[in-house]
Amino acid sequence: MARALRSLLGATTLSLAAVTSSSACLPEPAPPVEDQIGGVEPLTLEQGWSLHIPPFAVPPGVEVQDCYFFAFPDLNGDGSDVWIDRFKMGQRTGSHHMNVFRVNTIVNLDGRDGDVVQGGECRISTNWADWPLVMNSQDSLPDKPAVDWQLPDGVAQKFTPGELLMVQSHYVNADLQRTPHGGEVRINFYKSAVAEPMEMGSLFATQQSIRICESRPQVSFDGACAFSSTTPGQTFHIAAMNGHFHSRGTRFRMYPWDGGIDHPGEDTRMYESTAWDEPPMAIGLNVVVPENGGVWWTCDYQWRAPVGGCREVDERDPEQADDCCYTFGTSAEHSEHCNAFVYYWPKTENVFCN
Amino acid sequence: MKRMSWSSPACPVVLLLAAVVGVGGVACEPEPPEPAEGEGEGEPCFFGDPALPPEGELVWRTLDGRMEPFVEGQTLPLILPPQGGKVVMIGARVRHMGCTIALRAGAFDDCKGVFLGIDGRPLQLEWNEASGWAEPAFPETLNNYGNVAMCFNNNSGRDTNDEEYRFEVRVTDIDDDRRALVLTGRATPVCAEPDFADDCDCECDVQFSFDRSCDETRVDPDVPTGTCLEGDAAEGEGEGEGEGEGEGEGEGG
Repeated sequence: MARALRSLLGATTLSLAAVTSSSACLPEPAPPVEDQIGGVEPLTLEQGWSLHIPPFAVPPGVEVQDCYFFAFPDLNGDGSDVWIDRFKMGQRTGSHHMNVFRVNTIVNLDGRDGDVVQGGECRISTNWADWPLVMNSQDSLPDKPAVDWQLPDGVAQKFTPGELLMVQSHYVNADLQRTPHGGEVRINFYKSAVAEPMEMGSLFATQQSIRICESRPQVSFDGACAFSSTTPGQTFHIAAMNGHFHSRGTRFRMYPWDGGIDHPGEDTRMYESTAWDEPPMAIGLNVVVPENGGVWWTCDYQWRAPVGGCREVDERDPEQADDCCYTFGTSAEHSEHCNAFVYYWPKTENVFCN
Repeated sequence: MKRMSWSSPACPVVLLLAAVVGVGGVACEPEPPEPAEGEGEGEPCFFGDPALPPEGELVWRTLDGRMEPFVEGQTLPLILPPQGGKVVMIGARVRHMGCTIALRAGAFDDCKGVFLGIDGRPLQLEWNEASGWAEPAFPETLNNYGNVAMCFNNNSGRDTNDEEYRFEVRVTDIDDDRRALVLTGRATPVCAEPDFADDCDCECDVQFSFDRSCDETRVDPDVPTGTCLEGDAAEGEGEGEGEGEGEGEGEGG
C-alpha cells in the first residue's frame, strides 16, 4: 500500500517532506558535516531538477528498502520533452543501493507522484521487471558522497513531463553494513544544452538462479546480454557500468561479449569490483560492443557463515538443502545478488539478457 | 571425501559427443573398473576412474520437474522462470569427473552464427546407481540446469520456439579444469506451459517487440520454419557450426 507523502514543489526544487511513518523520522544524532551529502546543490528550473528524499531513520539491525514515486517536472514550461545529460547522486553513509526506474507495467507495486511504498512490494523484483533503468548509485562513502556523472558528448536521456519515476533506496544497518546517521538521497538532473542529442539506453540484468553453499564455498555464475539492431552497421557504445552483489561476493567482472560460449579473456575485461559494499561506478567509458555480441558478466563468491547462524539463510532456500545456501534475494544479510547495470548509446529495444 | 563407487553404466541412447582435452569422445564403453578405495580425507570428491577420460551426456528438465536424458531432435519445453522470459533447462550428467562441475550452456543460432544467450553456474552432482551417471543433486530445481533464455530474443534470426536450435553445454571439473567436456544436441523449444502459451508464442516470435501488441507482432504464417529473416543469414563462420558437434573444443587444456 502506498503511503502519501506531502510533496512540496518549490520554485526550483522538488522535495518530499518527512512522512509520518516510523522509518521516516529524523534520525538521532544528526549527521556530522561530512555525511550531509555535500556537493549536490539545488538547481534552478533552467538548470534542471533536484530530487530529494529527506532524512529517514535506519534503526540498528534493520534493512530499509522503500520505493518513492516522482513525476518528472515540466522544466521547459511548455510540456515538451526534457533532455538530461548529467546526473549527480548523493547518499548518506550506509546506502546499499539506490536505483531510479521509469514506471512501466504495474504488477503489485504502484504509486502516484509523492507516494512511497515502504518494504513489502518494494522488495519483490518482479514488480519492476520491465521498468527501464534511469540510473543507479551504490556510492555512499562519507568522504565521497556524490557521484557526478556527465554523459558522453551528444548523449542524453529523454524525459517527458509528468512521466513517473520510481526511486528505490535500500539502506542496511546490520552486521555487515552500517548506517550511522540514517538515510537520505539527493539526485540532480541537469538539462542538456545539446539540441538533438542521441538517446542513452540502459540495461539492468540479474542472474537469479544462484546458490552459494557451505559445501562448495567458492562458486561463479555467468550471464550475458546480447545487443542487436535492425540498422545495418549499427554499433553500440558502453558509457558506464557497475555491478551489485552482497557480502559473499568477491569479484564482479564485465566484458565485451563476442557472441561465443567461451569465457572472455581477462585482457578484455572492462569492469571489476572487489568491494561489495561500495562497488565502483565506471563512467567515462566508450567501449564498442562487438557485432551480434553484447556484455558478459561473471560473479565470483566465497561462502561465509552468516552472523547469527544458518537458520534464516536455510529458510530462504527453495531447495531446502540444509547446506546454508545463500540464494537470490534482497536481504543483504541473508541472500545474494548478481546484478549488472550497463549504460550505452544509442538506445535500442533490442537488448536480450540471459 | 572419498571417491564414489561405480555402478554399471547403462549404454545410453547416444547423445553426443564429448570432447575432452586431448582425449576421445563418449561411446558406449565396457564397464569401467572399480576405482581404488581407501583414499584419505581431503582428496577431491570424484565419480569414477580418474585414469579414464570424462564422459557425459545432455539431460533436460521436464515441465513436472523430472530429469530426462536428451534425445537428438527432441523438443524442449519453454518455462517461465523467476527471472522472467522463457527458458529451456538443459544440463549434463557425467562420470570420471569430480562431484562439482562448472556448467555453461547456450543456444546457437545458425542464422546469425552466434549464441543467443549464455548461462554459467556450478553444479553439485550425486551418483545415481540406477543410471550409472553422476547427476544433478536436485534435478527438480531450475538451478540444477543451464537456464538457457530463448524468449524474448531480438538477437535471433528466426522464431525461438518451434524452430530447431543447436544447444551446447560445456562441463568442467571445478577441482581439475583439465577434465572438460563439450556436449551438443539439436532440439526444438516449444511453448509447453498452458498458462503462458499465448504469451510464450508471442514473446518467441522473431518480430516480437515491446512497442507492438502481440497481434501486430505475429508473422508466423508467412515465415516458413527454418527460414532466416532476410539480412540475418549467417555467412562464413556461422555456417556449418551446427554440424560440428564440438569435437576438440574442450576447455582447460
